[in-house]
Amino acid sequence: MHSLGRILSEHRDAVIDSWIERLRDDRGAGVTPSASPRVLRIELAAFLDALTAFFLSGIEGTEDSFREVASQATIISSARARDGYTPAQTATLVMSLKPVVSAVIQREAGGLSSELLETLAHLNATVDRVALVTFSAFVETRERLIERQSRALLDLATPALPIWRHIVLMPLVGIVDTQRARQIMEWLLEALTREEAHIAILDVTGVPVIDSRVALHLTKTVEAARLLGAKVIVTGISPDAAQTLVKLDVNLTSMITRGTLRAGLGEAFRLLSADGQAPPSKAGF
Amino acid sequence: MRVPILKLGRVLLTSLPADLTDQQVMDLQIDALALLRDDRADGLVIDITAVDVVDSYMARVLSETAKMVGIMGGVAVLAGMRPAVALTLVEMGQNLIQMETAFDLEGGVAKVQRAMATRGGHRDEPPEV
Repeated sequence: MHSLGRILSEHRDAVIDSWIERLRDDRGAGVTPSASPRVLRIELAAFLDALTAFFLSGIEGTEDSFREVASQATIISSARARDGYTPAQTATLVMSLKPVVSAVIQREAGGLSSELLETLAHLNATVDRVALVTFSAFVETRERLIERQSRALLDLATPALPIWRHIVLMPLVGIVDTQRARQIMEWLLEALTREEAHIAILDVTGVPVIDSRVALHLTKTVEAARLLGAKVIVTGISPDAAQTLVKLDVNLTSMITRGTLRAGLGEAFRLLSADGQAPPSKAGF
Repeated sequence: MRVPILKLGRVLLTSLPADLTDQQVMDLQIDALALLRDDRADGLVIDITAVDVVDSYMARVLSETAKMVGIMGGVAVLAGMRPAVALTLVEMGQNLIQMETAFDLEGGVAKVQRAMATRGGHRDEPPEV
């Protein structure tokens, strides 16, 4: 069996050159015209060096040296996952090393022999193993990315705004599911405590679907706010939602509802002055 | 140890400790009702700022106390509940706490006074004829 490590270290630059060339020719590979050639060369060189060290570390290679190869592959594929490459492009990047190195080995060997076949098989097995690592790293990075984005979306969609002394406004936008309903409740209660608010206005104009499940969440939120000594006014329930809720026989009598945010604010001021708080003309500024 | 009940004007004030026992809650109910019976107060504000956990038993006793105070012509207000406690109570079931609530002690006292004013209950001075 030919020493893959020796061949790779002797022909290091030639291998990198033909690898890059191949990636440039192959439009399906993980190289776009915008990719910086210098960065690509550094990435590939680091990967190839790790792979060379792996082959040099013994016939089967040691686990430690493979871990180094895997970590280089992870770096490359994570970067590609973040930059929006497809999985196929990322896999191609690693797989395309096979023909490049095979060509070099065949040139070295001179002719067909069982030794050559064995060496090629070893190369194939190793590159395949690395490709698997690459792929799982790619997926992992993507999943983390998606998770972070959905969390950001959640944060974005539910701010609690102190719009007046003792009044907090929470405009809800988007689908309200169980997890989000819980988050909304937590944030609202936290905001009520922080602002020493007596009244919370929940505006549901931006919630596309209000069914019995969402209504249940709203009822719970109203109840939790009541326990803190605050009142909740729900505004912006659409005609569609009203029809659905009445047909489903959902009991909403525990909460104050108003058609528009404007009416809700009016109601909030009325409640405040009924509570003996200063009227809007004097409070708030 | 019984939870002390303070008197401010015609409002009874009490603050529940974090490690409240079932017996203490029952004693509190008895003491508060006795003070109301002696016509020494119009209402009761129970502050639970220090309480981390309200179980279903405590919730029931508190609600019942509020109803009893109501029957005796007074008002009971629960004040200062923490958000985490409210969340837990709501998850445990709807309407576990059936009584007036307020943000803090100050709000609770204001609520009792307002309720008594609309009710026209106790007056220091006889109404002018």
